[in-house]
Amino acid sequence: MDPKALAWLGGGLAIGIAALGGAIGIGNIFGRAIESAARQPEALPLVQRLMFIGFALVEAQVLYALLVAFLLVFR
Amino acid sequence: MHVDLNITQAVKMVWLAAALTLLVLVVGTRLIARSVVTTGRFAILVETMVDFVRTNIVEEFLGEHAKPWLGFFASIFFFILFANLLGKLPIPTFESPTSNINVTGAMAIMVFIVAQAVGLVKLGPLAYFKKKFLLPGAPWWIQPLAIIIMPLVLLAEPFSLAVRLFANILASHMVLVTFATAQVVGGIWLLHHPNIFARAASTLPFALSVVLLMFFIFMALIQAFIFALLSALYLSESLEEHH
Repeated sequence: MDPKALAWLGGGLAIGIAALGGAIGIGNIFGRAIESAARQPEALPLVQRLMFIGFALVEAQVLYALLVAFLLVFR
Repeated sequence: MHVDLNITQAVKMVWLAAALTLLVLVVGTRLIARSVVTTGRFAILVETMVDFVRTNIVEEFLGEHAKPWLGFFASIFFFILFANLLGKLPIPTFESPTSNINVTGAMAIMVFIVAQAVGLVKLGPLAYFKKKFLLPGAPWWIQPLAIIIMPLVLLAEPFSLAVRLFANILASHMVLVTFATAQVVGGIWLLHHPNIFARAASTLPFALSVVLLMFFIFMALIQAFIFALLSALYLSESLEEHH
């Protein structure tokens, strides 16, 4: 198989699988945040802050995979 | 070693973003200081945003140390915000300076050095070493392992700060360009379609493009917020004596 094609395939798979994991994680974070804010509306500022920290941490992992995908595709 | 000091497009964009930050904040604060009650759209906008940074970032994480640090984090927030938004303007030569790893890397290294220097001064070298390189509360035989691992954890902080911002902005621009191109091509193809409904549907790709742009403007705000927030978090670890 052509190495270039393999690299493209690898890049696509890398970002695809990473996006799957990130989507699960971000969905979990925002779902739980909404749940806890509905249960205890006065805790909203705290929940919001923690939500964005968690969001940033999960998203970073996907972006690392995106970098790997870029490296593979634009090699 | 050869150092390339050419004025690239990214450098010009950095200067532009810095000038915008200075202009907006200086003019805004002059307008706010003019009267006791802030009036006027622009002054209220600036005041609301600075207050947002103060309550949600600086005071939340730094507590009683908040006051001297507001300027630092507000400048970080506004500079990144303007840098992100510059690339969203429909001007061909404009690009976001934050879609360049050198810009975000420099900012992350600056935040890292500030946080470590403040930790060294405020905590003292011994307490600083204890806090950053050892795991308090863990059994003694863990500590040699901690000395190896904790510096890596420490160095991962600026790395993740830089890569997060850079990859986010770069990815959002690539997605925007790809979608916009596809939508323009598809829209023009639909516009010349013989079927009247297909011609009416040619407006949909353009509408989608607008929605995407709105989403990425929101992401530009969120990324500026997250960069300032995580910087404050890392700095707060150097300011508190107990943990």
